[in-house]
Amino acid sequence: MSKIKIGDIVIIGVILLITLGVLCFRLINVDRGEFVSISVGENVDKYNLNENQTIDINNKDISLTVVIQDNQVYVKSTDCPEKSCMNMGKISKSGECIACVPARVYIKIEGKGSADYDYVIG
Amino acid sequence: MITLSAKRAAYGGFFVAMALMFSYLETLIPLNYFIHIPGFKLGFSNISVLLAIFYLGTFDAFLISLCKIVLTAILFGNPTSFLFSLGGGILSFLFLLIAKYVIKEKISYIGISVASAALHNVGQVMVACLIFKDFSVMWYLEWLLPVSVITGIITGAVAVTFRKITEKKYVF
Repeated sequence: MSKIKIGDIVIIGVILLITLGVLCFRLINVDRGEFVSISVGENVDKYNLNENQTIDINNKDISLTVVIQDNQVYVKSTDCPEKSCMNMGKISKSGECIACVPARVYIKIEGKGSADYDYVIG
Repeated sequence: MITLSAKRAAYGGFFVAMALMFSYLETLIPLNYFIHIPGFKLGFSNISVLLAIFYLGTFDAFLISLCKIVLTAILFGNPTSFLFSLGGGILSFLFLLIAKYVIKEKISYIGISVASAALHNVGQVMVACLIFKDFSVMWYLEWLLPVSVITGIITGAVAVTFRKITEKKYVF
């Protein structure tokens, strides 16, 4: 049925190459996470990954409960309709992130390299 | 300059309606419970844009794409999803222009569809970067891009099948 043309193969090849490149880049640069950066809209707070704590966030009528425990971060509960933030599971390595788009909440783990924080909570 | 013919009106309405139906279908399939990537969609509504390029031309296909984006956001989405769709749709359509006028014959529906899906995801991620003001959202592309290859192939195959069914002499 199908006649695959050269352009198709080029496109698929380019996309897969980019994916591989990004994957390698991430695996090479991964380091142990140190801080959890949680941005709620404009505000960015940083928390220590080593300390167990529970953070309640409420933005744009959606509340989230974020738990930092055993050097892992996850969203324990939320009333966000999409629940994709809860399905993302636990993150622990620097660069990994959890996002809740309707609530404009973005949780990211940063490594030792980030020294540009204003203050550390906890 | 632009004449409204019955054909344009009829086909245009048909393609927009088809795109909305596909969008509605996507709301019924909660794939984002299984695949935990925010913004993951099957992108079936792209099928009608692909077909519209052939039946109506690029300008009309762009109008249909815009209608689809606005109406889908009003009916099934929210202001945030509208921004994502708009970003993805514009970038995706720019590629369709390149495909039609630059690449021309060296690409088939499958390739156009794959690139369209990939660029749609890139556009969405770029909008997300602007919303969160953080470039590290780009990492999501690591998973979105290969998935877009698969969804692009599926979407392209559906478009080709549509043409085969409706045109007796169509050869892919």
